[in-house]
Amino acid sequence: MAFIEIKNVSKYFGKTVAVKDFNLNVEKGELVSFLGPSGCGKTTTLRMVAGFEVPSEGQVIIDGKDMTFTPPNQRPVGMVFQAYALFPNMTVAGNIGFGLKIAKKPKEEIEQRVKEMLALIHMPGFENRYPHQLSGGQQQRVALARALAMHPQVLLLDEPLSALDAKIRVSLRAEIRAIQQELGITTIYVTHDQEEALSISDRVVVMNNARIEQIGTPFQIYNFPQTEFVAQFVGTLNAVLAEIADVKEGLLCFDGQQVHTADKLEGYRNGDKIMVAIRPERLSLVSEGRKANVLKGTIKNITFLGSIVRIQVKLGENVFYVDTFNNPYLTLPKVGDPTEITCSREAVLVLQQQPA
Amino acid sequence: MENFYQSVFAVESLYGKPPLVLTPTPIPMIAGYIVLSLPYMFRSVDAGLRAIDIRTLTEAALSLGAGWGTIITQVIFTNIRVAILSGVFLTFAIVMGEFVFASLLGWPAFATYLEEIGSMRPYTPQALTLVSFGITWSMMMLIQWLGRGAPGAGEAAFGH
Repeated sequence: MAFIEIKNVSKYFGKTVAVKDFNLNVEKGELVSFLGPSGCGKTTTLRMVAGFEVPSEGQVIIDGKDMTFTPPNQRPVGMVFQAYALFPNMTVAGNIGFGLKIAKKPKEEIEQRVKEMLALIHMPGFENRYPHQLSGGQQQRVALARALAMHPQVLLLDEPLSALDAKIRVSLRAEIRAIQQELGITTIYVTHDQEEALSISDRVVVMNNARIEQIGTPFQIYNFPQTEFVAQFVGTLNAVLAEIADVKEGLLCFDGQQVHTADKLEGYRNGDKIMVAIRPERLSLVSEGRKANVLKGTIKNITFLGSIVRIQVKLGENVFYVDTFNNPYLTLPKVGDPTEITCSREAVLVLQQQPA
Repeated sequence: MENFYQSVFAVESLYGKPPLVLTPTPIPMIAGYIVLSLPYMFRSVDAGLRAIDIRTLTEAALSLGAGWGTIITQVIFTNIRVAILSGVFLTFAIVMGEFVFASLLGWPAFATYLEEIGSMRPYTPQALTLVSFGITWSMMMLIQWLGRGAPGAGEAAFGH
């Protein structure tokens, strides 16, 4: 039995559907991210697990107990908020020890636990500071320590890094993952940042329009997106509507170009239109002699992005991105040059059509 | 012009006699002060509540196991204490200077006392006015003292 079971959960606010038919099992010690654009229902789902929202339909089960209608202060859950939510009138020690004080733990135990938590977040000696005396990153680490001080069975993080600058976000997400793995705590992490979700999660739940689009490991989500939305939302993508020229051969046509896919085209017929996608890093400028899966176009733009160089190639009506690793001796074509790009058959992904 | 004379006679007849005791208790006067000072108190507390994210703080406290009593006393009240004290101070200042209710209802208050003393001894009201300044300043200092350590006070953030 999974540690957290979210069964057929839906949430309506009046006529607005916030979450629809959400089903997910989270194993003990797993870190699952909810990833999606604003308004997709990821935070509402998290709030239903926390107890701040009651599902309109379905059940939330934690450790075998039905918690659907249990108030938030009686759930074995710790939560970290986007806006830190540290109590401004309390010191760091007061904040971390707040839950323990509520639970009427002895003073010595509270002091000991506060010290342990500060060591865990690498902030020893900060006991007597007030939240306004800390930077954003430090405040969020204290918020994490406060949530963990109660030894909750489940840790919920609601876009905890959104308010921080890029560099601190990267270091803090690694820290959160390390702490989560050290404690082995079952964690749900809400984010709209795909890089964040892919880098720290055991599994990612991609959501859109109140529904789950795909559940999978970061590797599966990135490399084998099942829907057009997932493919578009996670990473940069070249997506194009193609016509099936030969189902058996996996031959597709668009804009007078021909490309083969390794995906099976079961259920389709010649002449059907399907959405196909190719990741920019799987495309390359053609080296001599290459004949298969070659697309002809012209260089539209070249963008230097540090570790990679992104080349825009115009293929008829479509513009494809081609990513190549940067190196100081790279010879790049010029804008307007005719060029040929290529990829393997396996790189051409057939996407499921979005339900109407 | 006729209306003017009527007003003068009305005021004269109102203040020319001993005050009419409408009630044997000061409760109506207190009720009047509450109505008078409520907007000032409301605005102060409202500003205090808007300055902090009450909803998120409440949810944070709930997720840490706190009940509503604890949330109200230890999270909400303590974080808006400066706003409450400001409202209290404003209310105190208004009530201290208020004359009409006390005069009309015939109950002793600071302003009516000043007026009454002033009619007999010219210098005593001056002394009392200075005392009232002293009280006002003491109140302000008390608010500053009670509001120490409030969000935004003290050192700026440092570190990363």
